Amino acid sequence: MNSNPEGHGNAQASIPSRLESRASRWRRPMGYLLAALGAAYAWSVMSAPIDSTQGIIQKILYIHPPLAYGAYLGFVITGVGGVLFLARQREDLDRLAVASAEVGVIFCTLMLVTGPIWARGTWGVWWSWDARLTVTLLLWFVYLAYLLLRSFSGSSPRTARFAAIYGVVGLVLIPLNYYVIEIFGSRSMHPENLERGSLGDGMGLPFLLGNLTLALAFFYLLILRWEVEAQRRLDDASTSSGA
Amino acid sequence: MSYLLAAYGITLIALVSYGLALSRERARLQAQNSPRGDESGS
Repeated sequence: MNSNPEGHGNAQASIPSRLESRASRWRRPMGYLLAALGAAYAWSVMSAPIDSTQGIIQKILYIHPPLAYGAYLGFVITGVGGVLFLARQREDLDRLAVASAEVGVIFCTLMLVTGPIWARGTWGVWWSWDARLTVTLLLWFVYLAYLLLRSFSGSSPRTARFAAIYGVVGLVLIPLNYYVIEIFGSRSMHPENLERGSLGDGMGLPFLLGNLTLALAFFYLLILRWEVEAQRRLDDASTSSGA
Repeated sequence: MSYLLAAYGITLIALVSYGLALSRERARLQAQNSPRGDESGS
């Protein structure tokens, strides 16, 4: 294990930390499980019934909401990681926050790509300034700005503290994004939030497998990105110490 | 059908490419940060 006294925070930090090493051990088995689950997911989507109203394009349902949940998860982990970093001054939690924001932005980007494809096929337009779509775009910009802040300002303790607060404040948009459809009611073009029993026969399994597969893909990429962040900080520390 | 394939295809390609890019970056940094990398000055 590499160890490095970074001098940030109130303790001599080691890179990777015990938490990071423990998470890394899970990555390989998660990869195997992801391959198996991915195959089952592909099969379930192909054999799912075709919707009588929308036709085959309705099968985007099995990927678009799971991407949204992955994005929410990424931003929530960024916020929680930021709060824990502020409370405990542990740099591995700041690294987790950065890693999670990036994976969350990737998932949010894909949600913003698959959504318009679905909209084009059903509404006839690529984009509408609907409340849900607008708040999602705002959420994407907020965390994209977080990533820009981290990439241009380095990993100084001051930047990390500011980013932690910013990451938490940005979380306000997640419940707003989820409930905005109910606030706007019939004026919203986006379909209502899914509820128990709202899926047709044979649609529950592919939806469940889609959520499990993309959640697993999220955690696999998160751990990998966390490892990269740890190595980058180690590289920065050895460069700045003149090693 | 083409819209459906585009949605799934773009997602699959994006996630796999991102994962591969992260793996390569991690391997590069690990090699750079390892003691042997320091000795050779790479």
